[in-house]
Amino acid sequence: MIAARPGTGLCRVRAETWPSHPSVRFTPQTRLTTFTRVVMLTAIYFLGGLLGKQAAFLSGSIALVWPPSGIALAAILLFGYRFWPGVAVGALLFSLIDGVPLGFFTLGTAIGNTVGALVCAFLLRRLMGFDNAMERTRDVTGYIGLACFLGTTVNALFNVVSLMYAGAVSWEELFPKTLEWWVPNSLGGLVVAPLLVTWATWKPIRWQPRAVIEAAVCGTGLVIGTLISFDSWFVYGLQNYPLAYLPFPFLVWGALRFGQRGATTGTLLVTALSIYSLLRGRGPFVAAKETDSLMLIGSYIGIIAVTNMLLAAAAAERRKAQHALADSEKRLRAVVEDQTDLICRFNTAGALTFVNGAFCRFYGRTREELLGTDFLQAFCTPDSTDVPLSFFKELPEDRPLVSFDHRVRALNGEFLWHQYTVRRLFGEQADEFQAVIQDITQRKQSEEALRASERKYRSLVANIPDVVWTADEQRQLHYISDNVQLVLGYSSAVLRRDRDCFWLNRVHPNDQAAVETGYQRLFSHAEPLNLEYRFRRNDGQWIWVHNRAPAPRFHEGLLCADGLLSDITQRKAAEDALQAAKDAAEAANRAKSGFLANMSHELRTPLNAIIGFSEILVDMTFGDLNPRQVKYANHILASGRHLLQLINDILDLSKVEAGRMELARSAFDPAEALQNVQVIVKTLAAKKGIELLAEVAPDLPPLVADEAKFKQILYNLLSNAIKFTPDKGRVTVTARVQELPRDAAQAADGQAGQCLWVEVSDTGIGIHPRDQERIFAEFEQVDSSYARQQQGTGLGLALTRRLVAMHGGRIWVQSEGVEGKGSQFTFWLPLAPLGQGQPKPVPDLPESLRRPLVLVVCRDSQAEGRIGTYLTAAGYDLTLVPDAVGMVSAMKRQRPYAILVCERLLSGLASEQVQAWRSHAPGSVPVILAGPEAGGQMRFRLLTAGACEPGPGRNRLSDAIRANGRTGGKEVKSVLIVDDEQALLELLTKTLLYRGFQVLQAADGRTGLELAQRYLPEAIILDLNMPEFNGTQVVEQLRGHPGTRSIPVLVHTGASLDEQQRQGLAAQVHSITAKTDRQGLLAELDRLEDGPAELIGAPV
Amino acid sequence: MSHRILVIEDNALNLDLVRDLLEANGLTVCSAQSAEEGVRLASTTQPDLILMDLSLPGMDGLTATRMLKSDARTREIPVVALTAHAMRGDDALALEAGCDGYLTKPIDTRTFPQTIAALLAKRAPEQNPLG
Repeated sequence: MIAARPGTGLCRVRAETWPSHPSVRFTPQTRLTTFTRVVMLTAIYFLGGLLGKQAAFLSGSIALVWPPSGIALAAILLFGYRFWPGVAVGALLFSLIDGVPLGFFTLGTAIGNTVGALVCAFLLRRLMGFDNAMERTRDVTGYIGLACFLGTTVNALFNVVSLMYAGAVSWEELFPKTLEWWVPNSLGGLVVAPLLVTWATWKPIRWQPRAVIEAAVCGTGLVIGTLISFDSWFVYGLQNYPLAYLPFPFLVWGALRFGQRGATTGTLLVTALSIYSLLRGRGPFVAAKETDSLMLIGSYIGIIAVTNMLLAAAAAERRKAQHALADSEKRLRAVVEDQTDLICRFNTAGALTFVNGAFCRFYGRTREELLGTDFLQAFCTPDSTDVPLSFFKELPEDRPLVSFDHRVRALNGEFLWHQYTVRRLFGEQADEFQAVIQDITQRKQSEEALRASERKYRSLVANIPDVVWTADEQRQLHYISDNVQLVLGYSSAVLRRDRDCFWLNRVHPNDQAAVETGYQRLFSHAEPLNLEYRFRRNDGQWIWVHNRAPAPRFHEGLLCADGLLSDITQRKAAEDALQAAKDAAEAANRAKSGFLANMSHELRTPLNAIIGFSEILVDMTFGDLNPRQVKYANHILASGRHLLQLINDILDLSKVEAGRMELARSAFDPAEALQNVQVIVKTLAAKKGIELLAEVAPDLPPLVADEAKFKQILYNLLSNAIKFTPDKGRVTVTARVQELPRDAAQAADGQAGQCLWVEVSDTGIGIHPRDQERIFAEFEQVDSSYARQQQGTGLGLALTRRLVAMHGGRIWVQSEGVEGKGSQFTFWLPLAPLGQGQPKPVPDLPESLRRPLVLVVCRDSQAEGRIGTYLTAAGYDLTLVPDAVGMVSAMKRQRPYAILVCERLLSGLASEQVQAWRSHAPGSVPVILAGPEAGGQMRFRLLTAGACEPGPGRNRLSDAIRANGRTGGKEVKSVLIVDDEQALLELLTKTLLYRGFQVLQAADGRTGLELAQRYLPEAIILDLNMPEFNGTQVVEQLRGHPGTRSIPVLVHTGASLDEQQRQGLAAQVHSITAKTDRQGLLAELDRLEDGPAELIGAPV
Repeated sequence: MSHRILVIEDNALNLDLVRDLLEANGLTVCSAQSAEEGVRLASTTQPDLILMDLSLPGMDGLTATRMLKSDARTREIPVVALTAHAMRGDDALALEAGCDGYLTKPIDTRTFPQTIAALLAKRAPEQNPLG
């Protein structure tokens, strides 16, 4: 076995390389089968026996050391219990070969050896947790006690008892015989087994030259020492000295330096040499009796073995502990070294004894430079307060730690904050101090920033009049600023202590519900709080507060709201005062309106007589007057009329002021309106010989405005101009279309639009620039002698300006104030009301109104705009297509009432081509050519199928279609159809739309009546049999109301009426037709259009 | 036989003016200076047309018109309101009360007789007093 190791030399072992559970690693042999091993063990055992026999004394009967017992024990310890057969067979074989006959003794020997080894191994493993390396003293002690004493005793007893049974030993010889057996076995266990076990236990060996040399020197010394002790044959005269302890120094050396392997090897060497010497009868233990010699040398060997093993184990343990300590120290040092915190130690004198890397880096010096320097010197920078060393020295044992912040200056001159944690380390001789220094600059800075922000906030809160508060969802006030004392009269402490009931109880009873709801919504819906309520101050005074808070936030697990409370009592009072003033002003205004209405009435009554009688006089109804009388009567008449005009103007102005002037907007031709006004003022102009000129752009589009008011504006301006122009002067009016002035367009959300631009200029006295704004004010006339000669109410321009403004337009005057150069009044009105996409027909018609559709074929955007404006204003719907293809496809979707073709589209086409164009449309749909006419009006010409030339030009689309030349009245008539039969309602609607009517629909009598009263349609087609509110009732109601009385009703019914019923009904309605007779109904409708409506349906 | 017009008017001057104008046009005029008297006269004399001033002492013209229109004997007589109230809405009130026409003061003496004649003609087209 030993030879199997790759080297049996002594080696130096290192504790840290020991595996934690050393195990046998005989690599070449582990592959052998157990059986082979058992056989080999048997052989080795046998050979061991032979060796023991060779070294036996007393004629070979007693061996001093019995190797087989050691071999057996080592084998079991190394390989396990199952190798017992090797031991048993080896023992048996050896006994047999030794000449002992097979019997009790042989069996006893075999069993004794085997059981002894097994018991030893079992006890060691079980009780001691035995480790084969035997590097712990407990392993060694256990081994000595259990294996070398107990196990061998068992073995010896077995053998001796067997011998007794075999009759070879008598009872009296029991103890000496047992001892005889026990000693060799024990020594075998002490010398042989540990050697085998320790060497066989795997452990790496480092072949370092120094170790090898040392081992060689030690071994040589040991051999020499032993030989001198036991066989000093070469040193003459020494043999008689008891030199038994010469090997000891070398044994100790081996044990200390080379561990258990060194110890066991040394023991073996000494044992072998001493036995060799004894066999030759030499050595210090040679006694008179051989048995005594054996006992002496036996005990010598035993003591050597035990001492050596214990020494090696103790040394190994110590070594191990040292290594462990070194490791631990290394780890701790690494921890300290790698800290970013500065760590150092200093002694009571303040000198540094240790610094870590961070410390060195911070001070920019090496460890060597720093060590020994004064800690306080590094610590106390010029601008820091001194901390005396005694401060640390006085740290008591139960509280050896002190921590403080300290401001230091870094190498780069930057100031840093350090937190020092200094610990007093109490030592046996002298105390030391350890300091851990942490850079807390950032923390300090953020703390400082926080403090600064806190200061700012506090100063803010302290200096605003509002109360700042923080409350949680349980209505507990966390904070309320101190100025609450001023606002509410309660101290912040009182409010913080109390729950919200305290607060709520001081809220005005009428406001409590709102406050409660507000708080609830704040915390349960996260809705910002914004409340104004009354609160009773501590002094009992009620104040108005405005309390507001944004949505709450989470703070320490609670929903918290931060709010602001202000005293708004003064503001409230101001608001109330304002409201009262406003109410008073409104009341005064109402009173003024009432007064004006009354005054107007009271003045009109006498004026009636004045004007009436003077008219009669002037007209000479009851006889002639002389010229002077006529002149006076005329004066009276003129004054009366002037007074009336004054009253009317005042009334109009007051209406505008009261917002009661309403505009009746409709689409009309402004050129025509201007024409009308011109006719009126012409006589005025003619009287003074003033030339009246009109320059009107040729293509003025329709204007959506109040026609009467528009005329009034024109009249006022023209009559004014004539009034203030001397005889033979000239007054010019111009009208054209322009883009809306930019500011007006912006005011109307950037809506692009056009306006009608009218200028009235004269050659009169002019208006001085300083008066140009004043003349638009009420009762202002320019103070000049000439002006005073003129009659004027002074209200005309004020009213005019207001009328223009009501239409969304503007008026101003330009004049150099030079006589003869006159002045120029300019105003513009948007073509359609601003802010509305399309002009609204007046009166407003319901959304459900269906308009007749006109298909417009046009490619010219300018013409398109004008046609569109006209059609919309006139009450049509329109679809725009660019060409014939678009026209045909549009007609497939919806049949139009008419097709309008822009003249320019067809200009230049031969009449045949125009006719071909006409054929695209069905014959029943009229095709109209639309284009501008000189004078700015639209001109519509009917394109008749078959005719080569279009018909005569008309100004209205409907006139062109009917081609009857009729003018006046509304362009598109609206018809209300009242029928509960949906299908018929739709059919009639379509029929009427195709004929150019607007249609209002009502599915029952009541709706019908309502629509009729609200929108006053031109005709009503009425079913009789309707649920709830039938046709007869509708007729009665219509007739009973002045507004609807004259609307013709066309009864269209499925019911059969008897003669009486028919006559009764016929007296009240325009016509009665059966539902089956739709053509009859349409004929009645046509008849209605032709005749005067006033006479139809008048009360009988 | 000429048409008879009942003029209900409290202002004597205005009454004279209307009377003179109508009589100059060949119409017979009777008058009342209060609404109560006017209503009584209307039922007893059965005029062809009533000119009703709306602001009268005591009962006002609108009430009188309603009374006339609710009485079977006077229901058919056209009532023309004559008022100095020129505010918007007065005409509607008059029509609401049952008036058949509406004239504002001051009246235009040159068109007034024709207007009255037209109203009379509408009621009885076969008899045109102005022929």
